[in-house]
Amino acid sequence: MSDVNALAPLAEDRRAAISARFASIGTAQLADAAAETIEVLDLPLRPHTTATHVGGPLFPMQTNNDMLPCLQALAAAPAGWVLFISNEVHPSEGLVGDIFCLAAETQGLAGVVVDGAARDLGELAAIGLPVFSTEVNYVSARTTMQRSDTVPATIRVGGATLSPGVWLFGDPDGFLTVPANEVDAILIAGEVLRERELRLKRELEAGRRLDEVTGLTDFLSGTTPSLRYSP
Amino acid sequence: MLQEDFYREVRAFLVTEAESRGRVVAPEAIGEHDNLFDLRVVNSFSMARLLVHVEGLAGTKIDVTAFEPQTFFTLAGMYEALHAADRQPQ
Repeated sequence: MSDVNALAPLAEDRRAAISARFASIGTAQLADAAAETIEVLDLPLRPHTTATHVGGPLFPMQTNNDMLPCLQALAAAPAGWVLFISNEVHPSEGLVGDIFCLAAETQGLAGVVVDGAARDLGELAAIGLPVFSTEVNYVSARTTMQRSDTVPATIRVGGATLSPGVWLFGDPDGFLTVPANEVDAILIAGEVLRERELRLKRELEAGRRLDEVTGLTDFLSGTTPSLRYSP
Repeated sequence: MLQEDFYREVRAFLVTEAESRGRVVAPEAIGEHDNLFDLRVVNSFSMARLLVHVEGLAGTKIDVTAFEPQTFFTLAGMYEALHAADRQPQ
């Protein structure tokens, strides 16, 4: 199963199920569950709306401080996907604002993520769509008449390779990518880990000490060869 | 896949995983209803690998819309999950 070839809208029930599962775990547990599979997207992305978790197949594109490729990408991105805009120019001029993001929301996109500048932060706050950017600039980027022939495109940014259809997950802890064919298994693995952590928390709330629950004391004294609870 | 074949394959995977962390576990020590975390044959970093392996054994995808995480604490839960997936082709 791959979302890469079809560039098709994500089915609403699948989108809802994945959003709910991801919201309950977050990037930290996804990274724990699949440290060997994920790619870390190392960018200082900040949320601009109350929606702080974003997840979906990626629709990446690159621009050069030019709005036209961004508008092309917005028009082409399927519902349920995350539009990722990478600006080659830093500091960036404003590439997305309230109108752009409202359009993305009404088209059913899962989010807008910009390695570059957003603007209209006051108005953006009222939009339910997850919107993240690395910069803010009230000066709008220009719109040329130079049509891009590479929307979407595979791009290299923040130490990660972003290809169309690879899944992006992000929250206040950070951003990472997951191969499309492993999304379900990794999400469930993350939830399994969350259930395990909830059991640990219940033991701590019941008054047990962390060094007791994990077996740390026994391990340090050489009584046992390993911890009972370890990442 | 027959239940006994599934259990044998998954136990072999778990024994190898545990060995990679310096832990020696006999396959027969992994009961079908045992919690795999309590047995310490999986940890956080091997859970996703286990589920991908289980998907490969079944030749089908685990559907994120269909299962609760507790399902995957035990061999029996995983086997049932795979049969459910077989009954509902993706």
